[in-house]
Amino acid sequence: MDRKRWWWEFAIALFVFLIGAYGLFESLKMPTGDPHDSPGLTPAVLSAILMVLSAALMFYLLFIFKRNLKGWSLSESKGRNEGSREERLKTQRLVVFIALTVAYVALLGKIPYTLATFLYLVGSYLYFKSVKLHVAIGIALLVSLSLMYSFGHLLGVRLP
Amino acid sequence: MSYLLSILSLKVLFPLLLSMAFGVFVGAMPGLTATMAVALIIPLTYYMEPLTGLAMVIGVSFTAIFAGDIPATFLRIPGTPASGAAVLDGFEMNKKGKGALALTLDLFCSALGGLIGVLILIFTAPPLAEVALKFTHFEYFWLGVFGLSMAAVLSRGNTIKGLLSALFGLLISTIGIDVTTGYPRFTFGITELMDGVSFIPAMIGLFGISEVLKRLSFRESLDLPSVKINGKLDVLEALKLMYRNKFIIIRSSLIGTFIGALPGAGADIAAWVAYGAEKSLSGNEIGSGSPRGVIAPTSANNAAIGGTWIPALALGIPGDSITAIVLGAMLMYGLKPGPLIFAQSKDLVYQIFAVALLVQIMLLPVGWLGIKAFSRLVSLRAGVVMSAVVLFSMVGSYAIRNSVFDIWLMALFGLLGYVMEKINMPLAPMVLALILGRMIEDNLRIGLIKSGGSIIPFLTRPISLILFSLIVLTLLGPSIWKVVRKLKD
Repeated sequence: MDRKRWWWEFAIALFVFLIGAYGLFESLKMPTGDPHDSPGLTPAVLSAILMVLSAALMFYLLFIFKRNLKGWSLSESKGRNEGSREERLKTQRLVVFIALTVAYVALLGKIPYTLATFLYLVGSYLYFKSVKLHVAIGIALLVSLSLMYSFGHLLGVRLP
Repeated sequence: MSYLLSILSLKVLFPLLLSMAFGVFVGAMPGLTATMAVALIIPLTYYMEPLTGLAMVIGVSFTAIFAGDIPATFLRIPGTPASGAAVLDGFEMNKKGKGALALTLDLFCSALGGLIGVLILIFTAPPLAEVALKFTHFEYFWLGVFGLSMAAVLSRGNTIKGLLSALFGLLISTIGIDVTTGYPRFTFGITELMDGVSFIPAMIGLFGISEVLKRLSFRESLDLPSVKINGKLDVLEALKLMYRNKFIIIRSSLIGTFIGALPGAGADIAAWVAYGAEKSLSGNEIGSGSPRGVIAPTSANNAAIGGTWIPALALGIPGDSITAIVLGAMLMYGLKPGPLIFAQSKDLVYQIFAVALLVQIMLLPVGWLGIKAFSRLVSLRAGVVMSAVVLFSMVGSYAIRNSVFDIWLMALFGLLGYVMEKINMPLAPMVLALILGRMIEDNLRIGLIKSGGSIIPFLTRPISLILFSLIVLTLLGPSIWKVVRKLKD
């Protein structure tokens, strides 16, 4: 397991532990009564098991981390630095895509669905350099209009 | 035979063909379910003769369930919830360049599974419906736990993370109004959460959006075709594989039909149970792109549709949401589903059976065309396809409850799925837990109320005991088998 993967695993185990702790805390605040009448019983039990399991995973990871630290060499770090540029680009792509999608969903309801879809498609095609500008506009127009027509008119599916 | 000949007229066949084409389209769209396809086609059948209208409903339901497997194999997005289990090995086969073989197998197994389900419907509807009626909350609780025990099977070799995934899914499934007390749990005052976390957006996010995010990580892959398909279906190889695995098809179809016949269960649970059963029998090969991992769920989900018609026709009780709509349509046509339908409308019932058999044959060419059309679309540049996938996923998630909240939910589960996969945490146990969580908790608590808090009926009723034994066998069977083999050696 490399260092990055270790961090991911530890962060997720911690996240799940915190979710479990929150679940347990909230469940205990729910009304109590007979076991079958208590809405908090099931989530409390599930949260407690989640906490125990994620704590076990964190303990396990800490043990591995200590072992891995001993074998961490300079050459490995150099290799990591070279690869880190690609890593940064990868993260940038993901962040831009997520931001584009969030902006699109936030726009829904504020401007017409077809227009929002058209803008989203053109934006994503151009950012990811999938096609040239005029092709991007053409495909985006075709997709957004056909979505509106096929779902909205033919199938009667309500669009956002 | 005479019933089969009686339906071979243009006024039945033409609408049937149209409805099947429609089923392929809706089923292949992520988020648009087979139930939605049936609901959309019912208004068109108002003024038709009962046989034609029901033929269209049958055609659309079988085809939509199959078509859900197409995006599941190509893009890792289940078109319908019933394709959730087919995603796992279908997509892995596609990654190995065997997408065409996976879909050919899928098509043939769907048709064969459907055929077995319909034959069981024809010959055993009344007695099987009686058995299904014996299921009470106690049995449904164990059925849910049995389904969930498949999560343990799906997580073998990765037990802690698999368990975490399943438990997290179970905890999420507790969100919403509590069924026995009406207390809102973890809803944060959000109205949309009162009804719980909608399962379809969660599944689309976990499987589909996470895959889109994964693909975006590789810049060069965005310029390449999304999926490389040669377009030719591998018929001979698929038939050979099916012959070699004939018992899996039969076993999975029987599982599918039986689970389908249980009111409230359905094709999605049937597919997972058949997949889990196969994995527990075949070992670790399943899950890494094994044809057997495609054969089992695809046979089971189409067989389950035949199963859902058993209580619907024999008792007038819907097996799932599709047959609930169908029952409404039958009443609209002046038919009375129930034990008397076999006497009062015998000819029509047998004509319906004949249509259902015919649909399995027609599924082959219609499904083939669907695969062809879809493979054209997904062979465009990945950058173009991925954006379209996000759009369709959004429409599908929104269409379930007409709620923008479900789109956010889908996106959130997409991120969660992406992160989970980064650390090799399996997604399938979480999906299974989301499907079964509510069923298990509600039946447990209602069962406890009925028994005055005693767990004795959960263990003493004959069907409960059988299900409990099956669970113990599923969980401990492989370990016991290992010990026995060691002792033998």
